[in-house]
Amino acid sequence: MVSDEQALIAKARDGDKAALEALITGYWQPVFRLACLKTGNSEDAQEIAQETFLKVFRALPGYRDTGAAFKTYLGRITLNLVTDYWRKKGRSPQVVALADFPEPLADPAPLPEDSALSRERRESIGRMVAMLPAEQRQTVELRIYAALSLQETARLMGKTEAAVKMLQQRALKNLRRLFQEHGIDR
Amino acid sequence: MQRTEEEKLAALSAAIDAVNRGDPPGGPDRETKELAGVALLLKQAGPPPAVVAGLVDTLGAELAAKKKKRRWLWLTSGAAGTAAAAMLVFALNAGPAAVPPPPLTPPPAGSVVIESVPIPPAASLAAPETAKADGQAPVAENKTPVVENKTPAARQRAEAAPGNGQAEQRTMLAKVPDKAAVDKTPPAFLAWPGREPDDVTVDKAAATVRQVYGSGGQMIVVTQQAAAKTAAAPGDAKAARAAEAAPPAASSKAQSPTNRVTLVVKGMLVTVEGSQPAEELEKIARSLE
Repeated sequence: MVSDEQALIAKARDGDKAALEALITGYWQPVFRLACLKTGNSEDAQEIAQETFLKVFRALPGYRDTGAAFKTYLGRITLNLVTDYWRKKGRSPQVVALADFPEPLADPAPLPEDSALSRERRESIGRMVAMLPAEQRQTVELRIYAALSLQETARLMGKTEAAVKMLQQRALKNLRRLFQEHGIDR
Repeated sequence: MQRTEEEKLAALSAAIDAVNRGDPPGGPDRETKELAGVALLLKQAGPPPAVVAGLVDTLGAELAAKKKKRRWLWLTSGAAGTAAAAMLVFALNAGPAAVPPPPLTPPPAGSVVIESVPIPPAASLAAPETAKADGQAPVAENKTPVVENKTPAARQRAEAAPGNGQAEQRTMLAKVPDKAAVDKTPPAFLAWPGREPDDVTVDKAAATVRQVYGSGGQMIVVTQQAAAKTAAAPGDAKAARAAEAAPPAASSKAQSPTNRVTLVVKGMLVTVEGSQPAEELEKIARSLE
């Protein structure tokens, strides 16, 4: 796994798009999740996630494998950008310490590149998620994309857990209908 | 019914947590399983494809350009190094042919340069160690002069002496003149005809020349200095005789002369010291040429 990751990094360093896509897709969710947790805003978290990947991969030619996991490197960059985010907002950033996140980008879910979903299918799914009402879409982003807990999602959205449960159920039912309409199934 | 709906919501939430943990989607009922399947599909779809595509295109172009730049830098630096090495080799080997310096004859002992200078009859030479009377062999040529300040200038032609009118061909030995020697003209001095000095000391600072003839009880020390540098009144044969019992302080020999006669001879203030009587010393002084 590590050797595969190093191989991907080596390819991405030379601008290999397939390797770049595999790495971004594979690490998007944990980066996005961490940014969501620290900003409380899925839209800002998405921008931070994009900026994280841009920053990390632009520095990739100088990246040296020091034994630390690439995931940890991503986590540090994400937290730095979150700090900048709060500084730009003129507010004191939340106390951010990697010690609180020994595995800040932990995400045991199967990586997207392991799935058989084609790029077109993923694009269709993304378009359908975008069609959801804002609160339902945000619930999906936080609960599923960012893999936050029910309590974390409720806190970030400023809603009760029961409200989040209701939102996630409605969102998934709407998506199931959309998938059926577009012939997308498992 | 209400309770059942709450249980379904809780079951769905637990199923989503399971998907987030990487477990297979499941649930207590069919609808919950289907919704958990939708959640898994979303999970597998990953981030918004448009976002990923934008990132991949941007980063791919930038990193490929960086790679090309790195390769170009590597190639140019290598080429520059090769060119520099080639130019260096060319400059060393194909430059203007070096003209070999003219062969130098190794200088004799004492690093002296010998040159023969024809002297007009009216002139006399100053180098006492090389000044030779007519018919005498150049004994002093191989003698290294003792010079106190260790910067001996060339032994140069001495002031013209009204001597006996004989044309002399004198050999002048001269050290290779250094800059200091050129700047300061060494003093000219007189020589004792028919005698070769055993030791000659030129003091450029004091503009004096000290010649030592013989040794032991027969040692004669002739010290000369330009008359203009002294308080003595100019004028030939004007005596400033002084017979002194005290020996000169600058004597370099073990045995010091006891008498001293000082005369102005041919514009030079000459002091002759020796154990001989003062009259004999004066005669010697007047015979200097």
